[in-house]
Amino acid sequence: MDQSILWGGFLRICQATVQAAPFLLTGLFVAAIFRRLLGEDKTRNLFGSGSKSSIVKAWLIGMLLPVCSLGVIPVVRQMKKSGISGGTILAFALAAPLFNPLSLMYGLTLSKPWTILVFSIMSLLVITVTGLFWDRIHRQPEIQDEQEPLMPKGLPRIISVGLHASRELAGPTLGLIFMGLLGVGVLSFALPMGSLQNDMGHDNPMAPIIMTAVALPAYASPMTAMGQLGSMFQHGNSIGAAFILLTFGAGMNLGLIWWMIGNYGIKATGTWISLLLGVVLLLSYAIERPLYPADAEPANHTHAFDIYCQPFERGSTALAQSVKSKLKQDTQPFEIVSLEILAVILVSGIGLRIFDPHQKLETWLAKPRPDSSQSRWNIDVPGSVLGLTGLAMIVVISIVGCFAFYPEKNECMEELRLAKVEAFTAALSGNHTQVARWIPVCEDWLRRMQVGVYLREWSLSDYHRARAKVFQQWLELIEHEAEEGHQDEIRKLVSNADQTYMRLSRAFRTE
Amino acid sequence: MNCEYLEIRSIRFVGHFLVLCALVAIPSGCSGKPADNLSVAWKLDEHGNPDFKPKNYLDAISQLKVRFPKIVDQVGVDRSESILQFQQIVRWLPEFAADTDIKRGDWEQIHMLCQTILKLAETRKSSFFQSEQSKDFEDYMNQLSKLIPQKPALAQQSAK
Repeated sequence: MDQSILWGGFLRICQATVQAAPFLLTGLFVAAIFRRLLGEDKTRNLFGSGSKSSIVKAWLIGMLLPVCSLGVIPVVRQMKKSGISGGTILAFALAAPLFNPLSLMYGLTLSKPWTILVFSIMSLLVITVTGLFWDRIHRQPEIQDEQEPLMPKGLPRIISVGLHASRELAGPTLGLIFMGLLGVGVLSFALPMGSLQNDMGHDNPMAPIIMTAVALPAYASPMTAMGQLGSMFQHGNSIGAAFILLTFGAGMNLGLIWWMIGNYGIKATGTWISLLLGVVLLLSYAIERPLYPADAEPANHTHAFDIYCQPFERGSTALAQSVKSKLKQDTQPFEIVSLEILAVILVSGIGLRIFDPHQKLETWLAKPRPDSSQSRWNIDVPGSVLGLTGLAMIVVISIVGCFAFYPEKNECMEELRLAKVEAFTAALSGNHTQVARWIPVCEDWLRRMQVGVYLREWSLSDYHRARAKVFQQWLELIEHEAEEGHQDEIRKLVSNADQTYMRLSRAFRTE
Repeated sequence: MNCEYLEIRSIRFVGHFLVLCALVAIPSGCSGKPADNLSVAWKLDEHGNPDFKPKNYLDAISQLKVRFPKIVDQVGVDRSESILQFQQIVRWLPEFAADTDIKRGDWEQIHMLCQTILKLAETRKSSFFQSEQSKDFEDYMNQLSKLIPQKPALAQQSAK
């Protein structure tokens, strides 16, 4: 086998791991909060398991919590242990990775925000139908694991949350996550470099079906999926394929499917997935025409799906170095911090599983201790209150995170200027590798600037959208010409794009 | 309630839902008749733009001026493709304008005028493409021409 394929698969798995890290961390702590602070009964009450509204509640809670399809694995495992019905768990598993405050914010600033709203309502429809169906075919008594005693208040309770997250990550969850990531690697083996560039056109009736085949094993974080959706709307790609990308690419992965098979059996899982496929495919064909943006400009090819294909051409050399530099270039600071925390959690989890397999530490922590002196400042807060506060804090942090991730417009403009200088210098000097590196950075800051304005002013004028769109078009033209190596054309384009940038800057800063 | 009964009910439930979806999908998504706002499969140039895309704002205005009387003259033939292309050019106008030194107020006027033209031209049985409307159409074009700054920057867009 060509070495480039192996290295390519490895790179794709690493990229997915990096993207998933913050969401996985959130998922681990949400699961630990459910277990240690809320407890099984309160968790069940939170979702209203067994009631008619439980699926809608699962959808709503899922929309608020910032987890991805890998980060949702520890949460659904804990929900199962709490005895929540399968339909509610699967509704949560499918809905939680689709949207979160960050990605929703991104989606609402796309040229057609109502499309995103329709998508979110359709996701509710899909999970309601499949969830109700599941609860009908799989009417099993809700069995909950033997209840562990709740930890005494104070430090033991806090420590137990960390311990649970560590044990969870070092347990079956790790295998399931690995399984999910493996899908990304397998996909990159199967899809040669750039092989999806021409398949997702609005006029291609097979686009939703091709997307289904790609999206099921793929992993896309909510932000990645939303970014791809934006690109698909802008380039006139199939809207049905976009909905499938969101539902299956962001909502499912092989690890989650494996977990379902392990817990509910292959027959029930197969039936549920078949129904899901049927419903989603039908809906995707139904929305293709009504939701197609009138101002979309059909492009003859797109790079949006290159991340699912082989990253290297056959026979490429210096692959290890390429993987290293690609990872360095793509990784954001908050992802590095998340990876470091995950590494610490994993190592402690492995240590706990080796040296304390019977959870003696937890038993010791659970021992009742004599009450320390009660002052009026040392209030006894019930675990459920702490748990709900913890969940609310996660939501609040993700909303605050929006402001950090989408900075104020002047800061974005400065970052955009720096990236633009790098991209244009590379284009003029014929360094196409650097062009391919810096143009996406420019595009990213351009999007972040628009979301940042929307976030702070609750609106983004058509005028500013139009200014940003034309600059985006110049960037794409430069990228394509750099691929072709047309230096004369690039010189003209760079000069025009520079002028457009000045107008963009003026518009966002002063108008 | 036995398992068999539950399974039959589930299958009926899913069956009903799929039929409902199909009923929605067939008229809205799968009909052969293109919707008004739908761009058909146009021939694209090497940059992925439809081959009739004008070079810049002024070129777009000129094209519209040429296309309007032609559509008006198309009597008794299917003119939907010509109208779709006309609408698409109108949609490009604000975008072309956004790549000039235009001020925000002027751009917003262009945007508003384009929205008005699109609204008039959007329905298949629109009375917009009739000779009686020629005067109104000319007025719109004159207003659109006046709003754009007549600077050399426009010419540079021809590189696109």
